Parts: sequence; structure tokens; C-alpha cells
Amino acid sequence: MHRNATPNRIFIIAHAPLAHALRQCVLHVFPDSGDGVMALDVQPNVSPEETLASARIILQQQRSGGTLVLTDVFGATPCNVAQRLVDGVRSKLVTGVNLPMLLRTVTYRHEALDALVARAVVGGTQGVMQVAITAPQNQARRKHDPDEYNHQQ
Amino acid sequence: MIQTNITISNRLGLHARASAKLTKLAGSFPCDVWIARGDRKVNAKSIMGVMMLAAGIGTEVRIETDGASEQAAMDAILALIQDKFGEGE
Repeated sequence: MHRNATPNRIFIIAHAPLAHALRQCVLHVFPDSGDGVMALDVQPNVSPEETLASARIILQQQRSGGTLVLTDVFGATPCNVAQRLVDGVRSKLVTGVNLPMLLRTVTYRHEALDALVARAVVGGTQGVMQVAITAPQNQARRKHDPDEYNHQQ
Repeated sequence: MIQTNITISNRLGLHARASAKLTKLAGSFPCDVWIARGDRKVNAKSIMGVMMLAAGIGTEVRIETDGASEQAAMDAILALIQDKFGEGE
């Protein structure tokens, strides 16, 4: 497994109060991960330019290593701001953040940034499932598209 | 490869924080570490895998370690579970 000398940081940009709420959840599970996880709540009354400026200040605090930016929903202001923020080399962007994705990225944040992007996407996807009345470990894993309407996607 | 069965004895079972401690500890060893409940076996270094086991109090799980430092890894993981993940109950 490739391990970076400096672990990547996770930067959550989301509609208020989701970013800081998610960060708090992560710190509850991983109490010593505080330095590696940052959050920026996007307030409805703040312009995208101001939000971008705030985000740049937070991003520039990084000394070395990469940053994985996680945002909540594609097409919304937090994601639009994040797209202008990341350079695609030292910082990369994944949208659709949820707690499974976040826990997984914190676990693997020592890996190369590209590998971490893959971890985030898979972790976020696998965390979404119908929970049956039977124990979860007896459930079949959800298919990508149970109705097989792949041609419509 | 060595394997040992152990019963989860903390009140909250393998919940998020306990799973985090387990995966962090497992990840500090070079060997493969697996945890199994019945016929479902997951990588003990993967937090989402461990949480998917949904192993509550009283659940018997099987720990498997394989490779360098496998005995040290096994001892450390059994100690963590026996210590109720440091939760005291």
C-alpha cells in the first residue's frame, strides 16, 4: 500500500450546518483526526465569491500533502465553489458526501490522493442500502440498478 | 495463520467508535487481519466492513491474522475486545 509521508487532509464544503455537523460526527468516531478534517459551512446569505475566498484561506493552510474536498450535492453553490477551488492535482473533489464516505476517507487518508478519491466514491455508495428486518449481514448487497434500467442512465 | 473466537462484551457492540479503534489497531500491523461473524468475513482494517457485521453484545466473532506479526496482532485485538474497547461497560 502506498503511504504518503504527509497524510491528505479532508475538507468538507456543504450547506450550513452540514459541514461542521459531519466534522463533529467524524471527531466523535476518530477523536484524534481533528487536524486532518476541515469544514466550511456555506451560509445562504453569503455570496459565492466570499465563500470561495474563505475556502481558499482554509485550503492554503496546508503545508504539504493533498486535500480531498467533499461536498454535498452536485450543482449547488457549495459544489460550484469547490469546483473553482480544486486544481485537480494537489486537491480533488468528490460530491455526495455522507458519513460512510467520510469515515472511510479518514481511515485511508494516508493513501495517495487518487486512491483516496476511489475510496470515497466506493465508501459513499456502499453505505446506501435498504435495511431489511433480518440482520444486515444476511442481506444481499444491493445491485447497481435492481430494475436493470441501465440504458436509461 | 491463526484464528481465535471471542465474544463481543461491550454494551454498544461493534458500533462506530469501537469499529474505529479496532480498524486503527488492525491497520498498525503488517499482517492481514480478518474478522468474521458466521460465514461473513471482512477486512478488520476497513471500518465500513467491520460496521457491516452489526455485531452486538453477546455476538461471537472470529479473528484471523495472517503474516508478519500475526501473534502480536491477535494478542492486541483480543486485548482490545476484552477491554470492552476502553468503554468500561
